[in-house]
Amino acid sequence: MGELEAEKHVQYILSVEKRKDDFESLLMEHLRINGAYWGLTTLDLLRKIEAVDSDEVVSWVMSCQDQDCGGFGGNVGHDAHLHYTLSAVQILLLFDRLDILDIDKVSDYVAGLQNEDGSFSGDIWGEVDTRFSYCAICCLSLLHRLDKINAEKAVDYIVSCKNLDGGFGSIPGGESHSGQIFCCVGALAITGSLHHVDRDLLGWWLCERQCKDGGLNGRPEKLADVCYSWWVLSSLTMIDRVHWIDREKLAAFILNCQDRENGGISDRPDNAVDVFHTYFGVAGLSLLEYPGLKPIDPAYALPVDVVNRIFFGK
Amino acid sequence: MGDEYLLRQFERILEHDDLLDELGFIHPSQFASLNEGLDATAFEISNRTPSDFDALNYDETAFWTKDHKLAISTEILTQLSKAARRAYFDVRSGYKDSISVNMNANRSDSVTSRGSSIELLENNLLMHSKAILILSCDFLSAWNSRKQVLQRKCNLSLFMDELQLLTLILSYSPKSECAWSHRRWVIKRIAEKCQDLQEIIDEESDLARNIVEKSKMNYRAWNHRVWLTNYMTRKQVLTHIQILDELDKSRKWSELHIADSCSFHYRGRLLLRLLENSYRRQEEEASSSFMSNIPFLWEEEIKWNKFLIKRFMDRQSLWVYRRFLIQCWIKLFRDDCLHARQLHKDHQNGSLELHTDHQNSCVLLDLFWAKELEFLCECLNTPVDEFEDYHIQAQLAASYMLWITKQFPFLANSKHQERISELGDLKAILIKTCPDKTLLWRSLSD
Repeated sequence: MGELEAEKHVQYILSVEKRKDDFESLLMEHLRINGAYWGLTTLDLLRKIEAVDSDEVVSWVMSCQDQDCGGFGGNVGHDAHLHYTLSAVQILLLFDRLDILDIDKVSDYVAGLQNEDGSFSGDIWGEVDTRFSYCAICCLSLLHRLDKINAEKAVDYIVSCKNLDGGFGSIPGGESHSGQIFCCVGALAITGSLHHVDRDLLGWWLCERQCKDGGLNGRPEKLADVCYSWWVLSSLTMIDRVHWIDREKLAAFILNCQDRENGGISDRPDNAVDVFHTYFGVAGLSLLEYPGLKPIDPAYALPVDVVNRIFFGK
Repeated sequence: MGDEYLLRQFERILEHDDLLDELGFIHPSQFASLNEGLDATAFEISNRTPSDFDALNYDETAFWTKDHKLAISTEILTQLSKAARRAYFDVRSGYKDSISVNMNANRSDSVTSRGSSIELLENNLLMHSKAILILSCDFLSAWNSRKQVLQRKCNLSLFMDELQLLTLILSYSPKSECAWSHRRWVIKRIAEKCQDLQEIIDEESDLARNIVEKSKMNYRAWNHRVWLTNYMTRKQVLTHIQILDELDKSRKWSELHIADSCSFHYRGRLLLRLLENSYRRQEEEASSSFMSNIPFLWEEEIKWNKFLIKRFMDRQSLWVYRRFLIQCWIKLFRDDCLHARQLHKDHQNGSLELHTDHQNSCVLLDLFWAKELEFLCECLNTPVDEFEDYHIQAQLAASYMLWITKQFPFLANSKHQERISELGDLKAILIKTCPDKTLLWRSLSD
């Protein structure tokens, strides 16, 4: 199994950041701001965020903001969306640079996407999903502006997406999925509404996601994938059931998905690495208290010291 | 060759053949083999004469097209994508400016000429965004530009064309988040304009079926079906009979794709829909009778699930579905049974008799439990040490039963108590058959 190749992962992330011209990076172009959040958070967890020029990153992030609506796009000149807006806010917080942001403008954009039934649309075009509820609630909480929405209705909507198996789907009646569960449990944790979760029932469902190889899957009958090391594990942490799974086997699975030569982590052993799975692998290891890594907050998906700075002024 | 030139060729091909139904990105060395494969059969299904294609000139090392199939060389993808992005962003900014000028303009301006230039910009925007999206289907802004144009034009046939483009893109990118979301947007717009949605329902059902056939356990595709059921019921388009029909059609599919947990979830949704509809009808008609064909359907589903469990010994998907079915079933009958007991108590001294339907519910529930426990005994008492299937089956059955007793603690104190204890120490069985999850079994409170 071996150790975490921390230094190689740092090099890998820095190299992705610079690559802009091949087809693969063109395919990622529209969500570059999510990629930046994954990469930079990983660097911070690895205690290497100073390897990037923060002024350069911050000014690029700000150039992704849509000046009319206040939301952020996935790249310069792209349309605004809640998902990109959350990433932008998280990146600014990593560098402690919220001062550069017109907080009310951004939070008005986010709050404006709440619907009558408490749900959130991802953007002005009206697609509804519990992931967008998470993006909105997490973002507003980080900006200290939760009072701009009807939090009670937002919680009611999330609860309406709860299934009999204890999990959550993207819409009422949607199948339980570990990614959606993270979003719903995260949003409930942030709003202090975890009493809506049946911890034993959901904990059991989440534990059943651990496969024979030690990795976690997203739904019954699926293969394990490193990204669920974050989604399942953070959910288990929030409902205080993380001791129900075999943590050592999970850590071994993640470490096995490393590219030991060139850095980066893949979805499964021997597959091609990407920055998305590198983040989820490192974040998962951080929740497993892997030595040398900064601890990460399971609800806000930011290093704990960053979250403490936001809510307790350090 | 210039990037713009390639883009023009690409867009001309797309324009020329608006019935494209298959698209792929391949190395140009494979183009020759495509010709061989098509010769015999494909021409028969083509509606076009070969001369239609003769009019179209393109670089044959970059593209290959025939019979509504298009292959794009992997060698030119980067070039083509860059050119498409440039063209798209150029026309988008021009369009945005024109729209805002148009909105602020006063009537004395030459509205007609501005109108025609907006029309031209809109057509270009549709053309370039299509080129981008075929190459990169999650390019959100390009989908949004299309929404903007389609919304302004608000033309039913354009919305229908849009569904066709989406079908093409989803055929090779079945998990594209943005494409599914755009599809829902288009359907909502069509529903606003058109009363008869039956065609849409059928088409969506066919599309989703085709996609999940090739792309197993596709969460987005199945979610789309759930969304459609919710949406159409709200619009009061989906009737009782149509849901029954959908249940019927999906049954065969599920039997052939036993590990696809999504398909069982979908069936569960349809059953719950029927139940909700029947409750609503009950309220509307102020009928006191609970009985309709729903309990019968539910019972049939449980029997079918048992049949599958016996046939496919090691499938988690089937047991997960059983949890759902049984949980709903018990809730349904227990509530009815409790209600009956309450009624009975209230009327003991009066002249009213206990409703026979309610009495039946109590008897049925007991009967049901007796059968369920017998079935579990069977699964647990198979020779665990012989084959792996049996081993997994015992583990799945034990975990299922433990789960049920946690959900319905009243069972432990019922008349089935003795039978339950005959099953053995479930936790011990689980620790033996599934030691991987020992931490979970040990942690579950007694």
